[in-house]
Amino acid sequence: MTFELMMFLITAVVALTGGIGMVMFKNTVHSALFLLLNFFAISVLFLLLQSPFLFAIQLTVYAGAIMVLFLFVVMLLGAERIEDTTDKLAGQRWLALVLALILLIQSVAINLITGSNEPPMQELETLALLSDPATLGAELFTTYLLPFQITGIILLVGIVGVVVLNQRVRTAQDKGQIN
Amino acid sequence: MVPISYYIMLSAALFTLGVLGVLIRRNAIVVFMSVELMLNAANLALVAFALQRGGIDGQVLVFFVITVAAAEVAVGLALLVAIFRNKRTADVDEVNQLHG
Amino acid sequence: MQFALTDVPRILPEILLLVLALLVLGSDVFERWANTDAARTEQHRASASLAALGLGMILIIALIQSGYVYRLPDDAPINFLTNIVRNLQNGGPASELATTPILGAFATDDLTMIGRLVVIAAAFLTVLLTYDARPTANPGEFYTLIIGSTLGMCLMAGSSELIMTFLAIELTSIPLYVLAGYFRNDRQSTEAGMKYFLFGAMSSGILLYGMSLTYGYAATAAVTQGSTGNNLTQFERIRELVAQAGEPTVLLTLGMLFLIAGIGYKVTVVPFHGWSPDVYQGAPTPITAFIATASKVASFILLFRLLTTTFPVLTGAADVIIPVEASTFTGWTSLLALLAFLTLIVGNLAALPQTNAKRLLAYSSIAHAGFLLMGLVAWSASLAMDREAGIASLLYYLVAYTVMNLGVFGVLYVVDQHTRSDEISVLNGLARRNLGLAVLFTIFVFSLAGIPPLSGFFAKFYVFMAAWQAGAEWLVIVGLITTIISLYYYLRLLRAVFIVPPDTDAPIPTPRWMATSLVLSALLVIVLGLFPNIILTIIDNVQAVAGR
Repeated sequence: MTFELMMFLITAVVALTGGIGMVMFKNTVHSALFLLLNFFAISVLFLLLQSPFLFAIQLTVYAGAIMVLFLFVVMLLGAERIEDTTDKLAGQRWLALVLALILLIQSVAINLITGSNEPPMQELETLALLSDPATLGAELFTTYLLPFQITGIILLVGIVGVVVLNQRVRTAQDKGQIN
Repeated sequence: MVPISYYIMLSAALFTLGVLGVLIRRNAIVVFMSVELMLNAANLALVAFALQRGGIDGQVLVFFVITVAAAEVAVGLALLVAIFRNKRTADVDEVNQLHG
Repeated sequence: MQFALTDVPRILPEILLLVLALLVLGSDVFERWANTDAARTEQHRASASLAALGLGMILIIALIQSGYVYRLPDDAPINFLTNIVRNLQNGGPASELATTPILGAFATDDLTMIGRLVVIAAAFLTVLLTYDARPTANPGEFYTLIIGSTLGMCLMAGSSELIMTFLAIELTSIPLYVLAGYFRNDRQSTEAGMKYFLFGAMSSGILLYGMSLTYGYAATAAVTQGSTGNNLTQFERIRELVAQAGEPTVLLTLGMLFLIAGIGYKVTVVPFHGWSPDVYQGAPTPITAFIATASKVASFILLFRLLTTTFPVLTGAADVIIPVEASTFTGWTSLLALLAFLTLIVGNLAALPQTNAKRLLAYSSIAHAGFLLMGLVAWSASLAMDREAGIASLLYYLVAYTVMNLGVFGVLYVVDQHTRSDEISVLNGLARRNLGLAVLFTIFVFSLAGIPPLSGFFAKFYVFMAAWQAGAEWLVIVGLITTIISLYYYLRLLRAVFIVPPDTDAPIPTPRWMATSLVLSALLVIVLGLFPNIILTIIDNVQAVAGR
C-alpha cells in the first residue's frame, strides 16, 4: 500500500464520517460541525488530486466563510434545538432509502465500468501544469471570460437580495406594503 | 497513484448521503447543508475526472461552483432569517401555511 | 479562443440588460426619502417606469438585431441610421458569426434570439403589471432583481456549455428566490421563497452531479482518443467525443438522467413538480406570472439545446406506451414521453379540486409543461421534417403559453389588488363588477383550455400533430383526454366570473398600465391564434441551426 493510497483511505473515511454524522445527528450545531469535517476532508482530497488552488479556496470559502455563516445563523435563530423526531412522512423515508440504494448501486456500477478500462495516468509535466494556479488563472481570463463576468453579476444580485430581505424596517407603515 | 474510480465511488457515496439528508431531515438548515454536501460530491468527481484527463476545465467548473455556492448560501440564509422573524421556526414541516 | 471585439454586438441585449439593472439600482439615489405614502408611490413609479422603458427599448433593439421584422438590404444607402442597423444585424442570428458560439459558451443563433425576445417581452409585461400596484419596499432593488433574472434567462437560452449553463441557471434562480420571498412581512411570501430556494438549490446540486458525470464521460473518451484541449464542457465537443466513441456508456446515460432531472425541476415536470403549487400560490402574483412563464421558456430552450446537441446518440424512440422494460427504454425521448404522460395526468387531475385560483393555475401550468414536453418528444421522428415540426411546435407553444399565462395571472393580480385575496370565490360576479376585465379573463382562460381560434388551441393542435408524426400516438390520445378533463376546471373559473353572484357589486378598477399589459397580452393571444404564420415564419429560421 503506497503512502498516497493510505492518505486517500484515511481522508475518505473522514469524509464519509462527516457526511453520515451530518445526516444522523439531531442537533443542528453538531450537523454543521460534521459538515465542516467533511469540507476539510474534501479539501485534502483536492490536494491529492493535484489542485492546490482549489484546496485553498475550498478551505477559505467553504470551510471558512460558508460554514461560519451557517453556524452564525444557527446560533442567531436558536435553531440548534433537538428536532421533532415524530415521523410525519414515513413514506418519504422509505422512498429516500430506496433512492439511496439505487444511487449506491449506481456508484458501484460506475466503478466497475470506469475501473475496468481506466486510461493510463497523465505524464508528470502535464500534472505539473495542471496543478499550477497560474494555468487556472490564465484559463479564467481567456476561455472562461464570459462565465467569469457572470459570476460577478451573480454576486451582485446576491448582495442586493440579501440586503433587501434583511434590511431594517424603516417605519411602522412599511408593514402594510403590498400584495 | 490512487485509481480515479476510487474518488468517483467516494463522490457517489457522498452524493447519496446528501440526497438522503435532503429527503429525511426536516430542519431547513440541515436540508440546506445536505445540498452543500451534494455540491461537494459533484466537485470531487469533477476534479478527479479533470486529473484523469489532464485538462483544467473540470477545475474551472469547481471554481465557479464554489463562488456561486457562496452567493446561494447567503441568499438562502437571508430567507431563513426572514422566515424566522415571521414564524420563529426552522422546521420545514411547520412551514406549512401553504399546505401541500 | 479569445473574446473578440466583434463579439460585443452579439451579446448586446445582455450587456444592455446589465446596464439597465445597474441604472435601476442606482436611480434610487436621486429619489426623495420615502416617508409618506405619496412619496413611496412616486419612488415606486419612478423605478417601475425606468425599468419598463429600458426593457421596452432593449426589446426593440433585440427585434431590430434579429432582423425578423426588417432586414436591411445589402444595397441600402450608407448613413448614420443604416450603419447602426447594419452593425446591430451583423451581431444578429442571420450573420455568419452566429454559427459559432462566443468562446464556445454562448450561442447567438435564432433559438437564442427567439428565447431572448420572449423572455424580455415577458419581463416588460410583468413590469407594466406592477406599475400601478401598491408600492413595494425598495422598488429599485425589486426591479433590479427582475432585470437580473431576465439577464440570466437570456443566457440560459443561449448557453452551449456546461459551466455557462450552471451559472445562467443560478443567475436566473437567485433573484427569483428573493423575489418570491420579497414581502418579508407576509408569511406566505417568505415561505414561498424558502420552498423555492430549497428545491432550487437541490435541483442545482442534481444538475451539477449530472454535469460531472457527463464531463467524466467526455474526459475518459478524450483520453482514449488522445484528444487534447480545455473544451470538454462544450455541448458540441461532448457530442463529437460521444460520436467517435461509438456506444454510449452507462456513465453518459446517468449523466443525462441527472441533467434532465435537474432541469426538470425548473420546468415543473412530474415527479419534480412538488414545489410549484406552493411557490406559485405564495409568491407575489406578478412574480408568479414571471416564474411561470419566462423561467419556463428559458428552461425549455436550454433543455432542447442540451439534449439535441449533446445527446443525439441517446435520442431513442417514443412509440412505446409505457416503457416498463429496460430494453424499450432507448433514450431521452422515451423518458420525456413517460414524464409527459405523468405530467399531463397529475397536473390536470390535481387541478380539479383546487379552491385557490393561483394554485389551480399552478397545476394548470404543470399540465402545460406536459404538452410542451410533447414537442420535445417529437424529436424521436426519423424524418428531419418531423423533427423540425416538433421544435417549431415547441417554440410556438412557448410563445402562446407565455402570453396567456401572463394575462391570466395579470387579471388575478388586478382583482387581488382590490380584494386582497386570490381564492376563486373573489372572482365571483366579475362580469358585473368589471365587464372588460371579465372579457379579457375569458379570452385567456379559453386560450389556456385550447378553444379555437385562440393561440392556445393552435399551439395544442400543432404539438399533437408533431407528436403524432413522431410515432407517439398514445401520448397524443392521453393529451386529448386530459385536455377534455382540463375544460372542467377552466370552466369553473368562468362559472365564478359569469354565473355566481358577487357579494358586493362594487366595481373593480383597472389601473391604466395594468390594463395596457393585459390588453397587449390578449391581442397577442388572439392575433397569434388567428394568424399563426406571423410567428411560424420566424420560428422556421431555427430549424436550420438547431441541434444538428
